[in-house]
Amino acid sequence: MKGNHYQLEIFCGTGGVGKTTLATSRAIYLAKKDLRVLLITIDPSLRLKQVLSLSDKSAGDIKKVELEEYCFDALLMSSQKTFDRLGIDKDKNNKILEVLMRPNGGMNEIMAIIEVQSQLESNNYDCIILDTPPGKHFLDFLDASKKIDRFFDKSYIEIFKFLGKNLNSQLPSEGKKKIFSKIVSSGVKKLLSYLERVTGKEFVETFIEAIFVLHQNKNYFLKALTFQRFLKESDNYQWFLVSSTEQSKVKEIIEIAKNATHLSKEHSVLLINKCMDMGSIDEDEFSKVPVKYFIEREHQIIDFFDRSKLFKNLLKFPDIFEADPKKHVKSLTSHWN
Amino acid sequence: MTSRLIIVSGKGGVGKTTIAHAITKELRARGLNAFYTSFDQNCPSEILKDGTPRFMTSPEESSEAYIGLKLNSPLLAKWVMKAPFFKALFQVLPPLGHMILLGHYIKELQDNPEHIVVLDSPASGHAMSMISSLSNFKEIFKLGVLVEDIDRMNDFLKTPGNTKVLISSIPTEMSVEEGLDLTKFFKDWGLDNTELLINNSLNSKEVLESGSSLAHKKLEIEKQIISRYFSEDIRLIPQVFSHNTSEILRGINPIIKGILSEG
Repeated sequence: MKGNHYQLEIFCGTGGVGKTTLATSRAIYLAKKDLRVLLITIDPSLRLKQVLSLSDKSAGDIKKVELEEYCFDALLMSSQKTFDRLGIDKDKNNKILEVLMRPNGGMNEIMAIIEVQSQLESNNYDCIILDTPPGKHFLDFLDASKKIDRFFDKSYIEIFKFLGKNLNSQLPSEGKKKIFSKIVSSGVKKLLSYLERVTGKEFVETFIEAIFVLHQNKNYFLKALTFQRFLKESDNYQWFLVSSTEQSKVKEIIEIAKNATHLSKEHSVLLINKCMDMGSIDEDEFSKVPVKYFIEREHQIIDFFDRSKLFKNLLKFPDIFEADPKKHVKSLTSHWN
Repeated sequence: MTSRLIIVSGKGGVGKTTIAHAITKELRARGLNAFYTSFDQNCPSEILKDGTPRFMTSPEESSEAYIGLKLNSPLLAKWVMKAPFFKALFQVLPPLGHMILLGHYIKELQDNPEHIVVLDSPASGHAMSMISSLSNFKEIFKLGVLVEDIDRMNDFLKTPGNTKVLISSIPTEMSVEEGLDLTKFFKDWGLDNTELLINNSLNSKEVLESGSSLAHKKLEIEKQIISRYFSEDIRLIPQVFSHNTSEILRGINPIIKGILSEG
């Protein structure tokens, strides 16, 4: 589980346990073996930039991280850039889409799943490593495909059954108006008119336009469903649920493990970070505060692993006494051996 | 004068829930009408266990209440929210739900002048989405009652004395950097009463007296990090070595009192 690599390796877990540093150390470890590696962070806090000395401006572009002994690609997720890269037709300059694709616009999870899927399809990499947002937001990421499906399914049926089949992407604004009035004159009329009373008329028009754009680019969004299938059917991935002896969040670990139903137990690793009990510490330290508490938590997590049988494998990483995240990562890299 | 809305944010795993819990309890102990809240519909068990008063609502419930108010008909609102289209809309657009929740808390605070809401906010990136949603949706909606309401939310949040933001971080470089980013974000947005603090500090009597060389090594690193980033005094909340919630809350209470004495 340590030495082998997989086409996709996912790092998830509660916040502050070291997902980003561990994922980076993993990328370096595999890159040193001359594998083609892409490290993607979809955590909106983009902590990866700090570890790799990337600037905020590099968000959305694939950057080469090059040092003497290794080289790999890194990507800080940006919804806008993914949107552009996919070539999604958005020459309509729709305000709603523009705002939603901003860094804090709220489309991160959905765009991330689309980005990951297209990187998997590109076959440019032997291994794609994913650093994910903390806790439940990771589940949001996994659920994004379901949400997309539902959005295009039920809500569109509702609206588009009134519009006929021959929707054309180059609708002149008059055509748009026609469709708009057609929607309004149909059964959705009431619904939209209520919406209009709350939001104003202009919004409803822009909103319908945004839905057109999304619908015309439906196939890009539905890539997310292929990703879901990949997780279900492929043997070529591994996921690490990262925990730490500095936190007693066993309940949250259970919640993630139980809700990550798209991920197979066969490919799962429970990783305990910042372990003290790895043979390098004097035993008389064990009874002292705070070491005692860290070790107690470590044993709690191991106990949970043994009893719950939710995970296939268990991995321990030591606590690194190092303030600088870069040195921290370097030290972790050797532990993948 | 205590702020009306206290937002606790920070990177994941920095103890936001514990701090929000401790603040709510301390305000209650002072006889104030404080409520704990979070966007997470599953209220943390430690909050449920000791019966801390809370104001929990979901985006769907809050939207229904809001639409009901605007259309003057709760029944109609129920019908609108039942449409699969609206359900899907909330699912693909979490910030819309977050904005509506925030709006609901603010309305509650305006309707009940003696209430205080303590928001155990989502972690950094998602907290920024929540705040950005105000200006984002304002741009989207442009006109109409919704924009008037967004403006009202803005006014409430930015009125001096109304909002306090506490950004928690732990003594690691990653967490402090993220805390600084987030503090800047809230201040730039117009919430001047934003304070960064360091939680889970090892700088406690217990650790100093333990005689553990390992603990001292960790404490040295902590001091290095703090002195690198902060020239002036930064508030430290000590790490409490206990598995018991009330003991932890007792342990950090003196610092929480200090935070609240400043409004």
